[in-house]
Amino acid sequence: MTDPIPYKPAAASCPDEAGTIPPAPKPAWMQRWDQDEFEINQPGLLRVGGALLKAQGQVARDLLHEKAPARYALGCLIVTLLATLAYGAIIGSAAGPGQSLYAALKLPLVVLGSGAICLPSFYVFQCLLGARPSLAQAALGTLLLCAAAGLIVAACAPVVWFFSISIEAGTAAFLVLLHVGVVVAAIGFGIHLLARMHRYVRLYRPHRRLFHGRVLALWVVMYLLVAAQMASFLGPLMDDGEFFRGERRLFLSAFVRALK
Amino acid sequence: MQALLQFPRLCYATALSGGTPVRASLRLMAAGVVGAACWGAAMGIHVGGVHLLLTALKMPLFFAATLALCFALMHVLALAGGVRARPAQTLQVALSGLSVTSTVLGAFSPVLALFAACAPIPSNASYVNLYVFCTACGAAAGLAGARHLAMGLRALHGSTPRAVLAGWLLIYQFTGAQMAWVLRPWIGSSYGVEGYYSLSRGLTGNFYVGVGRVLLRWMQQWT
Repeated sequence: MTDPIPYKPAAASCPDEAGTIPPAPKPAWMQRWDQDEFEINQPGLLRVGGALLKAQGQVARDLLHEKAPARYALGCLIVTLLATLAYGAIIGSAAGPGQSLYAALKLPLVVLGSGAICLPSFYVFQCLLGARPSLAQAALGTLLLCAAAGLIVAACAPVVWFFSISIEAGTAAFLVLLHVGVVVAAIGFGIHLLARMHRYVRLYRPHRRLFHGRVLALWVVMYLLVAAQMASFLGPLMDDGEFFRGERRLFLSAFVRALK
Repeated sequence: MQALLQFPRLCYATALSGGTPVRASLRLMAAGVVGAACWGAAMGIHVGGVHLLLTALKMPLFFAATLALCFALMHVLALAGGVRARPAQTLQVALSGLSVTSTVLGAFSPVLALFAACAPIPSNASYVNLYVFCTACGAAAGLAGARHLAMGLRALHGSTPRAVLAGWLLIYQFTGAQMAWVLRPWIGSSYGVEGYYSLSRGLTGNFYVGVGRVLLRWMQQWT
């Protein structure tokens, strides 16, 4: 396959004997990404989920060229919704079927709502610090992160479900920590994917930054805090009880209470 | 606004070399008003109701009134510092800095709104937490705005006149603190005790005297 983006190395290594500067060698993952192929316009929006795992290079190129952003956005939205619905049901399953349904409805709101809340700051700070994403690219980047994280939580769901059904009184703290671990790993995967897309695009377009690495790192911390607060506000997710308490409190107090 | 955020140098070069200063100033003002109103509304959501509406109105007023009070001094200072600018150009640079500040605050406003809406009320701990969060966001927004002010002054002058920039920041900060005092409460110190806003209460006292009194009280507690 020929490179859709002409190869222009951003950084050069030491000059060779002839005095010319050879291009920096591409890491193995970039060579893999160069070979990735995926056609977004073929039917089946759920295929976006597969592309996020198997054809990240093509997704990055499509993101750069803003190819079919609406289809990508819809695909990511569906993947995120399905994955978080399933994982939410498992979170609530420890407290019975009623709470399982409630949590299944709430978790997509937490994940996508936090993305929407953090999107303006993501876009403005990317622009301020020298990245050049359009608003559509920034929104799609956020959705890609949510979808990638969704894939990981969906993959972890059977294991977490297994632990949920074998829980006994007084050991809920273990489940809380397990959920926190899964969510952090999932978001970590999402941010890793975005960071690689940033590096991939940077190699081919040295003067065009799609995302700013430092903003990504800081933003993900803010995203996690906002998601924790959203979850606390929309809670309870794990306790048996009503659908929505609407209790005004900081997420830390809810977290400490859950651990107790 | 997107162009100002992404290509500030090009924007300043185009806007300050003639063009349509009034139109550009109006656009900058509109962007600033929207951002500031969103930030004000997010602050006011902690108390809710009429307070939300009032803070959404007060925040753009705060920025605009402070600039109106400081503008003459800022322009004179720029001229004294060797920046040969017309008043319209000074206004455009000042507005661009404020617009960027307001836009950054506006970008943070959904996050603040979530935390303000969820914070218990009345609670001093919530008030202090929100206050710290607002201060941190304000500092980030202020830095972004100051960076754009520096770029604007560089476009006018050729290089950044540091003394002028420092003077502008000092003047705006000094007056802004008192303006914020007059327009208080912001986050929720009203809590329905003294009504949502009272101009006569706002005009009593002074920010700097108030800070001095708090410091004095702390020192008396420690000694």
